[in-house]
Amino acid sequence: MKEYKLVFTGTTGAGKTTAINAISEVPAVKTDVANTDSTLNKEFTTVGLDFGQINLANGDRVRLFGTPGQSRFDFMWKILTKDAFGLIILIDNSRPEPLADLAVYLEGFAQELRNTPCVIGVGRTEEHHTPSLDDFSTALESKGFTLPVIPVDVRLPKDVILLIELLMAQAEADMQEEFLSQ
Amino acid sequence: MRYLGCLGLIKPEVDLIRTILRTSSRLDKRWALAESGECDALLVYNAEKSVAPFTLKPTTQLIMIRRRGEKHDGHVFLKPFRADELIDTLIVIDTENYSAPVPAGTVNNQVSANLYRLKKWPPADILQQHKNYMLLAVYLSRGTKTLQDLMTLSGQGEALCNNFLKVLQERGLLQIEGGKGSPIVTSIERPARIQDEKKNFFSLLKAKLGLTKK
Amino acid sequence: MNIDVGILANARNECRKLLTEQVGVLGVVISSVDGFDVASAVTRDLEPAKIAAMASSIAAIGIVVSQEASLGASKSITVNTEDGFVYITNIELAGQLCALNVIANSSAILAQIIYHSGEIKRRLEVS
Repeated sequence: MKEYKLVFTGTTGAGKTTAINAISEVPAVKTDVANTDSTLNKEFTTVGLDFGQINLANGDRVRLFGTPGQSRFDFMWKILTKDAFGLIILIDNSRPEPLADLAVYLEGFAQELRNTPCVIGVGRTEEHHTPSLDDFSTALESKGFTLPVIPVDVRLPKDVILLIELLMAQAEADMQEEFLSQ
Repeated sequence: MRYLGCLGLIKPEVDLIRTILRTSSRLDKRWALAESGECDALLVYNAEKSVAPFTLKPTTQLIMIRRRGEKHDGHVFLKPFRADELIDTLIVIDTENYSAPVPAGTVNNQVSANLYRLKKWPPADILQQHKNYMLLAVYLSRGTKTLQDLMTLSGQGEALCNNFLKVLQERGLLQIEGGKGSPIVTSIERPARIQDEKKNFFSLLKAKLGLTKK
Repeated sequence: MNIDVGILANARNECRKLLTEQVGVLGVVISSVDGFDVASAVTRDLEPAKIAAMASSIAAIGIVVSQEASLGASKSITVNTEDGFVYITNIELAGQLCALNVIANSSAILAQIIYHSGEIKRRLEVS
């Protein structure tokens, strides 16, 4: 039996725990604790990790990990992303500086982004139109990344599945690239 | 009925095109002018960033308007307008889009020799939340790809892939390099040879997530 | 986190005492459950903010592991290393759940640290 790892990261409140819950086949394990940070408008926050699982037909498993959002937990980002086959960055567009938020994760995962497929899911775009998805793409381009940026409602399994599908497409394209360069 | 949209044209030009579509015996009333929404072909002059109020279908052909004497490739319509040229172009599009599909693995070698790479993730008006477009954009974002590569990875036909490349090119989102020095490997052979654990994992995960093509 | 300044001063004092009075202790940090440094006393090499965040992650994982194993509430976690140990235990400051973290090298004795941590806990919880 093999185990594969998929990591959800992103800002506090962007829905990492919700996204894992939307597709996990086991009740998600959460390490949420009372939030004492008055700048965050939420009662609980993840400090360790979230964990969910998808079981494949041959017995292999996909382990879904959610990282803590705040950058003071960036040591967990590294631990959880090691050997992951994909990274999903969730951004909450209702926060004051979504583009600055994105920059934090691009920097925090700079090493992983060199060879790990990554997709950016932006939430609450319907109520918060700016920055636009194109603004995110431009910000990514300025840092040398061409990554998918799509609007998501992580409560909907179909939206979370689309994020994963785009990750797999990246990996497939990389595999073809590797094959041709051999 | 096929629909033709006009973008960036002044009203007398649009009226002229409407008259051509209505009166041409060669087009036999198969084409009508679209004011907005989906269209089968879109005439574009001085392209802005958005194609609004039109939306592009996977098979929509973009016809760029160029001044006579300008260099061009693909479907173009030259200014000043000539009715017979517009009619010829629409008939060619009709033939390309609605004739029998080209067998997989065979594309025009001249076109397939180009290498494409996405410079920036395309804006929403190009992708339109259309999964096939998103996947094509993903493939183009990971290293340089030929048209043939794109068809192989996506499983989509030449018309859709080519059209998507054209849209990206018009919006300045593509980096294009000249042909590969080596002969093009028949696309169909490639995935069959990429036999590894990861590939198997992806098929199982796709099946689990309901992404397997029926 | 709103904690009375008097209680915070006591907490800092307790951290300092443990650091200076026990052999091998390199740092003592009291952190909020969500990983903020509340009170600390450390040697120059340690960053209380980082320790606070890491301790809250470890403590949170300890809680879910003990729940998963149906072993009741998690009380403390010890990380034994080649050159020392980290001891993390729950503590309440003004009714708010926090974690007391002690980082020590191999010259410290775990049992003594556990004992003194218990004493700090007792004193701070009644203050």
